[in-house]
Amino acid sequence: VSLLETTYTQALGSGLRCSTPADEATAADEQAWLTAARRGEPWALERFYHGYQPQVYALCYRLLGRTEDAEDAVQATFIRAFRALPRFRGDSAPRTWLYRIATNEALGVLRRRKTAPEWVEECHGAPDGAGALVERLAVRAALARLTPDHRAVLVLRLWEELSYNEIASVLGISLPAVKMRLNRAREQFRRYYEDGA
Amino acid sequence: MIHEWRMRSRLQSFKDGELSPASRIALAQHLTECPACTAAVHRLTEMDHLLLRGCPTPPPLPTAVTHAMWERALAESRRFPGGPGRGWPLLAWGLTAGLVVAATGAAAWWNLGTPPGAPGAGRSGTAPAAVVAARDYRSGEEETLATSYRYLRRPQSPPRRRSPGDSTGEPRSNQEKPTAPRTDPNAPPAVPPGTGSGERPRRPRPPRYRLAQGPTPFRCEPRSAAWWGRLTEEVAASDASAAALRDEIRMSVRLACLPSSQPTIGDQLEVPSVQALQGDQQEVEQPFVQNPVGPAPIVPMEVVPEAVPGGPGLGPVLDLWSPQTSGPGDVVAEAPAPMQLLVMVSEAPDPSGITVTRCPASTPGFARAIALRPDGCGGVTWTQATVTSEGGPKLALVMLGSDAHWWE
Repeated sequence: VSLLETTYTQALGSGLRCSTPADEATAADEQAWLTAARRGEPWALERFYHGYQPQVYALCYRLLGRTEDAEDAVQATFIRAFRALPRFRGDSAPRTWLYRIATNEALGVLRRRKTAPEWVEECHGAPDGAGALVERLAVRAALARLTPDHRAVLVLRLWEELSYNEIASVLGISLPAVKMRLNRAREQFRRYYEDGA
Repeated sequence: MIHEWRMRSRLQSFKDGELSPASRIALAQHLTECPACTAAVHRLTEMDHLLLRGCPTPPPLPTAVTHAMWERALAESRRFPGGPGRGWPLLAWGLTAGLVVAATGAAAWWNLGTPPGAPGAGRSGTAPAAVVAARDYRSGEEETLATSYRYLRRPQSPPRRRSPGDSTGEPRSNQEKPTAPRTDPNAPPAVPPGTGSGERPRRPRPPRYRLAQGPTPFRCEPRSAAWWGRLTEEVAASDASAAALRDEIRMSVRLACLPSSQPTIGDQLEVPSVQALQGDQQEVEQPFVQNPVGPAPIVPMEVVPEAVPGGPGLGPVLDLWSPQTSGPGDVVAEAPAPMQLLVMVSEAPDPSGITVTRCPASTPGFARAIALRPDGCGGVTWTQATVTSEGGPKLALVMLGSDAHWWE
């Protein structure tokens, strides 16, 4: 029953959502500084950078698993983004557009590296019990075994909470391909996790 | 009947909220009746929770790193504002080639200026105040080649013009021997055009170093405080006189003698400073005493007396400074000269304009000296001289840093 109620709520919410004045003001403000950023004005570029840098960094870190690689990818992402901003037409949201650049950078690093990510920072010194630690290690091991494409689709869906359409835009694939890739990624992860556990 | 993977895909879309409202309501109705599909949705949900719990949280980036990344991203994006476009591959190739050339040049320059093994290389530091005061340098001052000229002893002998054939000698790198043509040491000096018998003879210009290549500023390499401390300790250990410490530092850092087979400053620093210091002190106290023939510590560069009008150029000077003609302890008058910072050594079989000592037997007539001295910004300005006498008795190639000079 609770699942059904949640489903109804989500269905109604997704269909009836309307923009508030605050949202409109935010959108207008974003449009203003985005226009300025396209002209290359430093204040707008700085706002663009500081507005999206944490998200891009988190995305790159989850894809790459190493802080240094993530920093490099973030920097390369913004360099490419700043250069390409004048040609950005606004067909997609700036975040999606930026994620696409970042994902391409990170996937390029992953394909060149051909080694699994490490994620060593958090594995040591976990405050909770050993069971949780083992579970986390098993999850990370299974994630590390995933192919870059499958890891990317999982990260974009679960942590960045992108919709299927946005994932399709970021990865440059079709909507059915997103569904299939996500399905296979989950299945692959489940298999790897059960093997490891 | 719906295929299994399609049903799983629909369940996944349902869980992710990606179904249309009608499909969502229809599937929710189905879930109330189908325990298998409900279990599948629960498994998907649990797996997502597992993933969210297990995946690491990115460590926070320090503000300094974030700011540095921002500045670099902005700078890099400004470098190529247009970004990749038409003609970009050609431009990229050109840029890559340019970068490679620049990196090679920088590496070569770096190897000349600061050896990898040199103490304190690449680290910043500050010269002791005494050193800075000794040179009257201001912090951050950069020396140019012209400034460094002041520390070279300039010969005061009358000019000697090179024969036309001399102009064919091209300077080479400091690892090569020059191929300058020989000149006749006994030949009279060439008469400049327009100086006939009825005309007033022009005052001969003193010979000097002539720049064979474009001037290049000397580098100002930062040195660590530890490097300066070690240098000071070495100097202090060689002489207990604390009052003369400042001068000793100046002496010790400027004195070095290396054969051409050991071309780096790192090797130079292995030369015992005490030995170098003693030789240098001798040079300072009795600067014009010819060292005895033999393995003397360091023999300074020649000191040329006052010009002799109408003289045959460097000939008398060379005779005067020939080890065969001047014995130990001979004092030679000289023109007042500033502090000599460049020690040029060679083992010229022919008498040359440069006093010669310490050259490996394998490469007679070709040697190298490196003179170091502190500058005002905590670094060392160094001058390297490569001397050869193969070009003839009156002509030698001197390399100061990367600049080639002809010694006439």
